Amino acid sequence: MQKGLARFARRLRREGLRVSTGEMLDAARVLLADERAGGLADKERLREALRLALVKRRSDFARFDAAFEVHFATPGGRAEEKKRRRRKGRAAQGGEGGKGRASTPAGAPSAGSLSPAQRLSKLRLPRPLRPETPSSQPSQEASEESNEHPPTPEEAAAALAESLLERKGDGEEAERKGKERFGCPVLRAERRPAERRPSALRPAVERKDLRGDWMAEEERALADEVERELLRLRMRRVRRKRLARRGTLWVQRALRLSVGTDGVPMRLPRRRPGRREPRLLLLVDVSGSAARAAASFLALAARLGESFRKIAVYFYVDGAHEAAELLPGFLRERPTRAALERAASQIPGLNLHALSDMGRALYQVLGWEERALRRDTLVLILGDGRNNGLDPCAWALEAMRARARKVVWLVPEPYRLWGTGDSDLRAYAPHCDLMVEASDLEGLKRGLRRAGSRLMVRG
Amino acid sequence: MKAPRKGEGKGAPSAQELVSRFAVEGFVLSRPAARALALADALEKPLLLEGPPGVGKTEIARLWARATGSPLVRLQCYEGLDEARALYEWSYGKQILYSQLLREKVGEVLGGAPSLEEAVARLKGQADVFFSMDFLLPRPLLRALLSPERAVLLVDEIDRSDEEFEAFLLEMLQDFQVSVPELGTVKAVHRPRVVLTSNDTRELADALRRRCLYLYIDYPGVEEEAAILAARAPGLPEALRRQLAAFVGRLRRAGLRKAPGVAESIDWALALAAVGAEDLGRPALEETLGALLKHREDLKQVLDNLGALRPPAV
Repeated sequence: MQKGLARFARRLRREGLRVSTGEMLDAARVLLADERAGGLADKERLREALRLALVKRRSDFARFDAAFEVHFATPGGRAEEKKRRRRKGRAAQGGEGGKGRASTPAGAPSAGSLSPAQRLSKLRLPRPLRPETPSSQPSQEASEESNEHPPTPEEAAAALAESLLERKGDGEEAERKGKERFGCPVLRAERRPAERRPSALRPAVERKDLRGDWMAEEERALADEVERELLRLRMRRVRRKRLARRGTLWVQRALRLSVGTDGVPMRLPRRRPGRREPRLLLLVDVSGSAARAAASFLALAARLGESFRKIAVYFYVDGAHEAAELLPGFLRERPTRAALERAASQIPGLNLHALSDMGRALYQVLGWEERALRRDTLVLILGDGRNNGLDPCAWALEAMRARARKVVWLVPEPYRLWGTGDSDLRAYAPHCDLMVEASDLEGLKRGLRRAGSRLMVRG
Repeated sequence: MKAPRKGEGKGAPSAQELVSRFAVEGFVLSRPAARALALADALEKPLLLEGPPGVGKTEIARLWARATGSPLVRLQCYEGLDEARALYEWSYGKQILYSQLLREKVGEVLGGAPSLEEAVARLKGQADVFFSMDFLLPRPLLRALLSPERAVLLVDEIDRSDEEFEAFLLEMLQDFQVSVPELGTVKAVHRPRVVLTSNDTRELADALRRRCLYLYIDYPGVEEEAAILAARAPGLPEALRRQLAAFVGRLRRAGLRKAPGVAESIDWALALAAVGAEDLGRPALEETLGALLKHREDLKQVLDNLGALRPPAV
């Protein structure tokens, strides 16, 4: 049994499950206990017993079950599996090969005479599906199917989800209430009264669309405005810390100290609330359409994040790239597209001209950060949510939100364009706590201020 | 429920026995859960129960204690929970009171001391009396270790606690002992049966997971939920029970803000029975749906889409 168990553990490790020696010993003890109860003859019981001891995460159930099926298959079944693997291997060698994708700038002639749809499918990158729910769900569905009539649960659920996302009625009211349209609170740009609109004396950089063409002097004015905002953010934090709670009376310590003064509590110490360093996770779209917004955003986020030790930064275009080391540089440089491109050039493998694929970036970041995402983590995303028709992988964002404290999304596009064309904001919105229209500097500042206040309450 | 005989609590009931003992309490224990409990008991390993809120994780621990005739010691976790609240505290008030009351006695002990060194040496032999078990306030973890019978220790919602607390639990879960600096290492009189529950709101450390057997409890299927309702809300007609279970199952997959748990569906079944509902018609739903759904938006969305969501009567 020990040898068989060791072989199975090796298989599980090959499948990516982390099985320690201690867990193997546990599994052996579980099997021994089960054997005494006469359970090992039943394959399902064996599966349950091994799963109980060897799998410590629900997300690993599917991989465990697959490995179990292969390992404990009948001889014929095992041969079939080998054949299947060989076929798969041959297909992978002779098939797509995955060469030249993403490293080729858009518009380059490498795609030859393929249609746009074919080019897109060639560029499609491997991605995992949403982890399946392994336990009772299938049986539930099966039992429903046996005794019910249409509409199916999926149809009913889809109808409800659609109704949650679709705009309710029409007219201005629905336009105003982004929550009804997108399924999450939306912070939109404020309409400014005529008397407060920028004049020729004051550059309109704050309200200028960050995606458009900018003059050099406008870029300078934008950088100055970002500097001013950085200063304001710093002062805000100092004020908050000063006004932080002083803590509650520490009765036990007061009693202990009073021993020295013959039982008279002369000193009243206070117990300060526990301080934990909040984490900040930034996911920034640095593709061409969002580059200027990203540069300003990164400068502001760098100031926001410099007070916190725990900060993770990922740039993405067609995939995510770790960029935390570059963040302090954005406090020194003017927030221009050129600055962003210089920074991006330091990251190997990051192609600013590739097709945006946020879905891939999301599940990559989820894989890397899953363990670090906690209830003290604020996830800040800057991006337009455009995926070029690729799978948005909204489940990955949902998984992030389930673990993090808040997910705040800054969209560098005017509200009217949200959800149009290849935008997947409708899919992402239900998994955000707040979406902010950040097509201009004012929007960016507003979004960061809101996110910053959520962070600094605990800081 | 049949009361366990004296000493029965120390034995390990089989999975089948557990199923029947839970059934007496009106709890439908699934086969995998029963086997997990039986194995955790036999191996003396902690059991980590993970799953969405309202599927009965805490209830399993509570009923496990009853089924094995053990005392239940519950530690509810929250952010900021520390050793003082989880393990032990010195009773400072009692120490001060005793030191005041025994002041004369202390004077007597020290009275004949010729020098300060001698007085300190005499006091050294006596001072430990104020740091003995008499002045210790055991909190749940220590209570479970010192329990004269084998207790069931429920560490509820461990994912709400801090990582530091998780790390602190490791020694306890590995060796069933804790270190009290003034007293030394305290070992368990009887190794408690430990159940940790988590709603999976944050990732638990691998070190903690490794020390536990793991069981994920998902929402029950329609048949299983109907059986639960039969046990907990017997006043409801069977056809309505099945319809209700199917309806709740659909709601759970509909992406509501708060998916209803089993506890809520039981409440709803009881509410329907209380109003004498015979089907899931709109009037009955409008009257009772508050027992199932806990957000205004969810209520509105469900009532608006009732036609698509409501399963046909069986």
